Amino acid sequence: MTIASSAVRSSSSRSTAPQPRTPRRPKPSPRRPSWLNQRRVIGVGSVVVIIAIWELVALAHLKPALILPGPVDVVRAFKDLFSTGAIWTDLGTSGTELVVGLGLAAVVGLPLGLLIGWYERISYALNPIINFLYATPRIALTPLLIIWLGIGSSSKIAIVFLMAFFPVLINTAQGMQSLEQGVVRVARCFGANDLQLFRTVALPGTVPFIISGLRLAVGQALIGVFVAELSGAQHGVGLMMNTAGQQFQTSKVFAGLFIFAFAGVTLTYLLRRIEQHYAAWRPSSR
Amino acid sequence: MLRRQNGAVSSRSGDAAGVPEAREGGTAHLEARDVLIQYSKPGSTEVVTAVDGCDLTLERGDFICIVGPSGCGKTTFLNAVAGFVATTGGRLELDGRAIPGPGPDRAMVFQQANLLPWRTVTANVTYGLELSGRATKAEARRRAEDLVELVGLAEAAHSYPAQLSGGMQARVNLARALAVEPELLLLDEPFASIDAQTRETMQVELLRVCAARDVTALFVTHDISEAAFLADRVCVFGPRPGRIVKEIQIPWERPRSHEIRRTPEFAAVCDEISDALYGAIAAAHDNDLEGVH
Repeated sequence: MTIASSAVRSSSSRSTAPQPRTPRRPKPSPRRPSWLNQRRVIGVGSVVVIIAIWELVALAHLKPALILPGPVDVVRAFKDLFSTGAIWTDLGTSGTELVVGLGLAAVVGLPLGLLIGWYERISYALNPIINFLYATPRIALTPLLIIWLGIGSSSKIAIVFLMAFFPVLINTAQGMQSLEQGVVRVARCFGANDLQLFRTVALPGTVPFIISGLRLAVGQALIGVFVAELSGAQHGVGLMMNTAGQQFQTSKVFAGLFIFAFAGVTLTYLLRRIEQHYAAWRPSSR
Repeated sequence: MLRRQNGAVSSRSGDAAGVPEAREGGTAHLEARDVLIQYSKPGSTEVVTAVDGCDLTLERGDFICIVGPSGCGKTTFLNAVAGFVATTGGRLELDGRAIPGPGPDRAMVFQQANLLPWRTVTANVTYGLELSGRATKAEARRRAEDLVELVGLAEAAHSYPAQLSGGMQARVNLARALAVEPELLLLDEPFASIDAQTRETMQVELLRVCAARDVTALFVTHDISEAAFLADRVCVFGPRPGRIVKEIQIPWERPRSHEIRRTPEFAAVCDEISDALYGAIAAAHDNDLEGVH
């Protein structure tokens, strides 16, 4: 140690102590703010270019504005939509259907998936039912559910639930079943009981699977909201789009489309944040 | 120089740093007498004899290596000591008591590190202590930090396993087993999947750590020079049935340095082990042939 430090002193006269050997990660260039990274610049740039092309095509009037509105028309449609209170009812109705259906799917699907993954006998008992329902195009149950539950929100929530439930359930069960057996063996070797094994190995190991199940569920739930509202509803963004479509209010249809897309992107973003929080150990998410 | 008699860090000195309580009691040791382990293959009634007539005595502070060809039953024997496998006959006792099952007095180091990928290095080392509930959180953490430093990973203490090299993972694996302060450390080819240079470094490290913590170890390997370098005594395991055919005393004090690998004495010891090993394999082969004719 003394030899090393004296060698450092003799080679560089100014440093008084040997530098710690911790390797430093290269810092991003200091001239740019951190949010302005390459990924964002290219991503935002491509969106801007696509919108510009869209506007140019619309301005060229290849098709009448009634059929192909430009971005400016869509923005105007948004303004019109939000000038009256009706859109808030639609948003509230669709939003409630989406959130409640998705929430129920998570609340029921997660524990059930964990049970199926943990206890083989439960999976033997439930697999036939799950396979049957998963193979069925569940959106085809919409007419049936509307007959049973009416055209109010409850039939929509049921559809959304059915659409979102299976991705959550199947992914959670699969995550549970694909636990690293070596890690389980280590836990057993240290004398872990079932509860400890579940808490320290099974649950954390399943988190990435749960998150990707939820991400799939979001997409399915949005399909559920839209299609269910087409089949008969009193309020909702899907209904609004359908009505606008029948009246050739094409820019309003586009506005509805963007509302759906925005909901999906927001929920997916939130899930990614949760994933980064719980799965920071995964090399891919760094 | 070769026989390092320097007793300052002798493996048998009880005053190792960082061990809060030295366990009292009689000679804690493992005793195997005429051990027979049989199991039936799943889905068939055929009974396989993995170990038959195995004798072994392990005193407290010993470092014993079992070396043998693959499939000879040495890992089965180790699993019986760990309590994963039941013996069919003979005596297998720890401190004079039959082994009931896995217990916190024995810790196993497997070939694969099998770290919990969502825990940092320190949190992985505390894992065994958390499960046993034998230490408070703060105490477990303090012990883990000491061990992480002992195995030379202080700078990576907050890294996740995915960020570590194979050698570093093996160090965490070792530290995790040592954290529960086992009376007997069982190692099942822990360095078999590590590259050759790192393996030799890890062997020296293992001896250093064992000396610092006064560990009693039973180490299973198929690598002759690894066994000769690590052990106080090398037990050559012969196949069909698995049993110890020869015990070879290794003359050097522990801990040891790489220098002994280059001595003629080391080569002679390795030769002695391999003669015993290949003799046992040839004998088993002859037996098989006799059975055929």
